[in-house]
Amino acid sequence: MKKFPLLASAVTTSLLLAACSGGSADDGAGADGEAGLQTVDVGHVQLPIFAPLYVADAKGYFADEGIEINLETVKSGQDAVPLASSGQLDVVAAGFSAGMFSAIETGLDVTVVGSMGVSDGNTESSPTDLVVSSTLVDSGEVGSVADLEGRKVGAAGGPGGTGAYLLSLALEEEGLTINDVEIVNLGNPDMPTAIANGSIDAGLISAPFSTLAIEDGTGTSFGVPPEGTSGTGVLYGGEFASSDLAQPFFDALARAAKDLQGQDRYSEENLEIIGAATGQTADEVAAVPLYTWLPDLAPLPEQLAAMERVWMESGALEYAEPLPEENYVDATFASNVE
Amino acid sequence: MSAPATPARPDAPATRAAAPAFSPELERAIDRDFRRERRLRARDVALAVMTPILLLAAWEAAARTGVLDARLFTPPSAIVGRGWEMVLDGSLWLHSVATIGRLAAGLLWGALFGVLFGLLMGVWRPLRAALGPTFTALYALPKIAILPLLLLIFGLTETPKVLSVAISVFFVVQINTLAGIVSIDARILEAARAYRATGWKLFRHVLLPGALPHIMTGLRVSAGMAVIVITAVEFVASNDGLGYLIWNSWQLFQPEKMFVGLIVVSLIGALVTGLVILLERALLPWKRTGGSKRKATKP
Amino acid sequence: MTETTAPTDVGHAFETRGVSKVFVGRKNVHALSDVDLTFDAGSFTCIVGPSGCGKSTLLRILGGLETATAGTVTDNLPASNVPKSAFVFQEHGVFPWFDVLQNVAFGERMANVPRREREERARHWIAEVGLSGFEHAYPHQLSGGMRQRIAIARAFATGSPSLLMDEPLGALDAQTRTIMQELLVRLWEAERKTVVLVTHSIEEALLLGDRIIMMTARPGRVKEILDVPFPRPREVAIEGTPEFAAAKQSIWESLRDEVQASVRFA
Repeated sequence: MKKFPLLASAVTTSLLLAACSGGSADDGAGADGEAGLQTVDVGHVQLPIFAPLYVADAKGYFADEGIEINLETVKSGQDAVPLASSGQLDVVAAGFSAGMFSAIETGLDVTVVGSMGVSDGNTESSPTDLVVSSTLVDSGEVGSVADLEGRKVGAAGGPGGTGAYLLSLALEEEGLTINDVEIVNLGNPDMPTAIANGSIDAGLISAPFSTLAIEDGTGTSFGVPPEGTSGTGVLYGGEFASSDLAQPFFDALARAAKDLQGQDRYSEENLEIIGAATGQTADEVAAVPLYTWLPDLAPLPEQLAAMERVWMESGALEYAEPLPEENYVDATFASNVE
Repeated sequence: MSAPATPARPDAPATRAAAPAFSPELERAIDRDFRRERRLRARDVALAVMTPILLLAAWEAAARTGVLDARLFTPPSAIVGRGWEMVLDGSLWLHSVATIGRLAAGLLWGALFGVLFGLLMGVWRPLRAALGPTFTALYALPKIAILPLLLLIFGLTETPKVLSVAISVFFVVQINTLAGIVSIDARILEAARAYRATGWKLFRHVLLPGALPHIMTGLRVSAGMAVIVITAVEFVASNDGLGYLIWNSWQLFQPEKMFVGLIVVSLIGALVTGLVILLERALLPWKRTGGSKRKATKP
Repeated sequence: MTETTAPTDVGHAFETRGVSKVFVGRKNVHALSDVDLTFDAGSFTCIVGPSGCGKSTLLRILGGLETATAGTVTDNLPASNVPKSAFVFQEHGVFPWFDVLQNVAFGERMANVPRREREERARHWIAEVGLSGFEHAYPHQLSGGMRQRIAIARAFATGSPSLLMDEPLGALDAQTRTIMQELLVRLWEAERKTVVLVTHSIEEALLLGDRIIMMTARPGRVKEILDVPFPRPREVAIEGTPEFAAAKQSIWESLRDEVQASVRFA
């Protein structure tokens, strides 16, 4: 009765696939698909935050550029990074993590070429919330973010995840650092319960779990990520980045991003597309606040550098000096979008 | 009761009192056979030891020449180096102790209750009828699947982790223990009854020793399983332990640490299984085919 | 060959009246039917009959391992801490997890005989059956014949006033069997316990017993009882005598129909 969780199989698989450094036989960029379309292998995490990808696919923007995408679901971006580096995947749409930086520092060939979901700072309906236990708030133990010092705060991905980064933004406003709290690695679905039974004192939670906790009184929102923060983006594998399809792919993506500006992102059509791609109904998608997207999906190097700094501080990154920006960010594709 | 005077017993082995010496040629032949057997056994040991060494050497060579991507498949030399660092800074010790602690607790409780239930179900028919089918069904349920439920009930404490191991061990040991009791030869049970072994005496002198081989098998199987389960549990629900080390190292893209974790887990698994085997040898002296190289003479 | 009373009436060790046994199950098995028998104290009785005639069942009923469906069984054996009957089974029933000494002492141990006493007795009987030196060997290290000897020693060591043996030598090869038959006779002659022995072998019954009870095919009834005419002490050599052959022949005549009947049943 041998058992491994799905994630561990993904680890094993990605290890095995990425083992040979000489590149793989199946080279996505340039393989011919149907009707003369060329296939691009895209690894993604199935979430509404990557809506431009699904919208571009559904509305045929990729096809217009002569591209057919092959979507490969991964459980976390980190699983896909080695695959992109070795050419098993061409593109990855996923959240950033300390693991990605470590991989790049080690020499894996991936580049950040674009951003995905960006926070709009809307405190009323935000896809992410810093939720604090109502019990602690009511008793007066925790009145502000500063009172979280020394307490347990849940963040998906632990000290090396985007949750930790967003948390640090809140902490730094009060003069604290990420190391002033005890980060507990929990999945978003588990955080409301953990707050309720006191296992953690607060959590950096994504919707709809954040809204659940707030609505049933378990937790109180202490703030949302400031406008313009982003923890997700688009990565190109090194080989794909230097191929002919690199720019056309990005053009299609950016075109879809333009359809998702402002309130347009809540259009019927868009909601249907996002729902279909993530296994939900349009209504279910609408029930959870969506992120925003830059019209050119330009990458955000300062954000990345900030993330790197926080992760170095929390100990998730072991190397001493921040990486030079040009090593891992390439904004040319975004700037070349018409 | 006095022993009657008896003439020479017809079936007493004649070789007992004064064994005739073997002729020199026979002695030499025996010696040759014995040494040959020893040689073959030594060869077995050598093969067992050399295989992993050769594999490790091949791995090292492949990583250095670029056949294997050394960034992902850390060469053994780097693993050892990193492992030593982790020993020195204490982190390896911390993680290992956490895992071993959960493993030991889970094995202990699971085995205890497993043996208890198995024995009770073996001797008391109503209990066997009641629980047997249900336990068989639950046995097949992956314990990792109920982990979220356990976390819900017990929170983020050690309990869910130890429980996952304990539950997995319980079912395996219970099933094997019950099989052990059921497998006791009916003729032996009849002989026991004929000699008035009943109740507690029957249990202690017949049922328990009779079931013990199966119980030990159950322990040996569940030991390996327990390591797998605790590692998997630590992947998803822990902030320390070797499973956490393995998983988190991969998430942070530190393959060296991940391999250190993998290797230590395997070693622990081998150690635990080895301990169970030693226990088996100690408790079941009657199963071993005699320690000496010459067997008892048979008429 | 008619039913006769025992020459010396020292009292009946066992007595059965109208004993019947039916095994209830999906198909009812009528093992024994209306068996009336008496067994004198100190006698050696052999029971022969075709397979399935219920002789093993009868033995178990005598020893209390089975209960009769109808009829009564009484015994006149002295009560004590040890069981009234010590069994020896065909497939020895020796405990693999005990060494020879522990096995032989088992009956007494169950009767709470103190350790030193029971081990001393056990060693005596181990010597009697010729297993001296093997006290601490385990059964799996020994041959089938040796294991059976353990079972026999165990029965004697228990100290029960009666011995009930169900084909105790059936699993042995012919040569070992002959040796063991001599052993049994010798052991019994020393102590004169009441022995009831079930066997398939007519020669064995003639060699060992004072009396032979012949049973019919299922359902088992007593067909005939024969007093064995040979004097004691017995030796295997008597098997070569013409009297022996004649006795064997007449028993076989008596049993043949029963065996044929049982073969049709089987």
